[in-house]
Amino acid sequence: MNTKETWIDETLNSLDGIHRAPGPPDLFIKIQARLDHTENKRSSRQLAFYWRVAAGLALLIALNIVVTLYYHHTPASPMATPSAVASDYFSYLSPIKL
Amino acid sequence: MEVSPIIAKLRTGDEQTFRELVDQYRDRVFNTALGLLQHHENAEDVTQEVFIEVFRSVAGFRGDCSISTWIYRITVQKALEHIRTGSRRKRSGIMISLFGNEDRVNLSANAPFYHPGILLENKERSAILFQAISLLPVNQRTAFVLHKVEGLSQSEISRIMDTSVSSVESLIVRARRKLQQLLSDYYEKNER
Repeated sequence: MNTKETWIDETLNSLDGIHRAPGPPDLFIKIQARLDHTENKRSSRQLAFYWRVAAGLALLIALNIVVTLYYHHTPASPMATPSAVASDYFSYLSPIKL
Repeated sequence: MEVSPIIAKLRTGDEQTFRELVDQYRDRVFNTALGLLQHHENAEDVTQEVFIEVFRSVAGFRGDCSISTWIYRITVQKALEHIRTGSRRKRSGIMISLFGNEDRVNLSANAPFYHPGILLENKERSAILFQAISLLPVNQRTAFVLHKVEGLSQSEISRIMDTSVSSVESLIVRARRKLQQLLSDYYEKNER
């Protein structure tokens, strides 16, 4: 076997007797921190979403209240009373009767 | 299919069981990721991602393979994702010869990687071998690293890679042949 082939073989076999590389000792703490961070992020995003929904609902309710109040506080026009409507109705009908 | 007691406990979110699982598989996951990525920080990152994935997806684990196989699968998948995203960014770092032949890739283009578990007398040679390994096609690299760096049997690798034992055997043979070719080119260029 020539030098080149020997060198290639030795290089290919250089992983023989390899030991497992030890993982980081503080791995669990880091994983927990990442899980907590993601959890916090998710819950703050959820909280923001709920706040937006609540704000939307509050706006809707406020608008409804304003409209209702406006409706009830507007003085009723004489045309709106039943007797006025009835007299108005008959006054329109009377020319047809003849 | 019956689920192992560890999985059942993990599904309830038992922290102690999760801690034990991390302790039990930490070195295997890290070593596999390190062999594939050849970068300490990235391997540590992937190791964390693997256990986070295990924690989150344990409810969906059907128990059709062992926990070990499942964790190795996630490790390989995460490491390969890292390689893919990294190679997209770093593709220009690899010096491919003007002939466009990937087999003639310059081995000395990448920074040398020293695996901490290598015997001292093999340190320099293994650094060259690791550079050659990083140029193998993904499937060959996975099979070769799981076999030579992590020390798994071909049948274990076949379960992890979800393929037949003969396919794994073929992948390792082809990987070895390609490595010989890459090392031969390297030897000629460096005129040892």
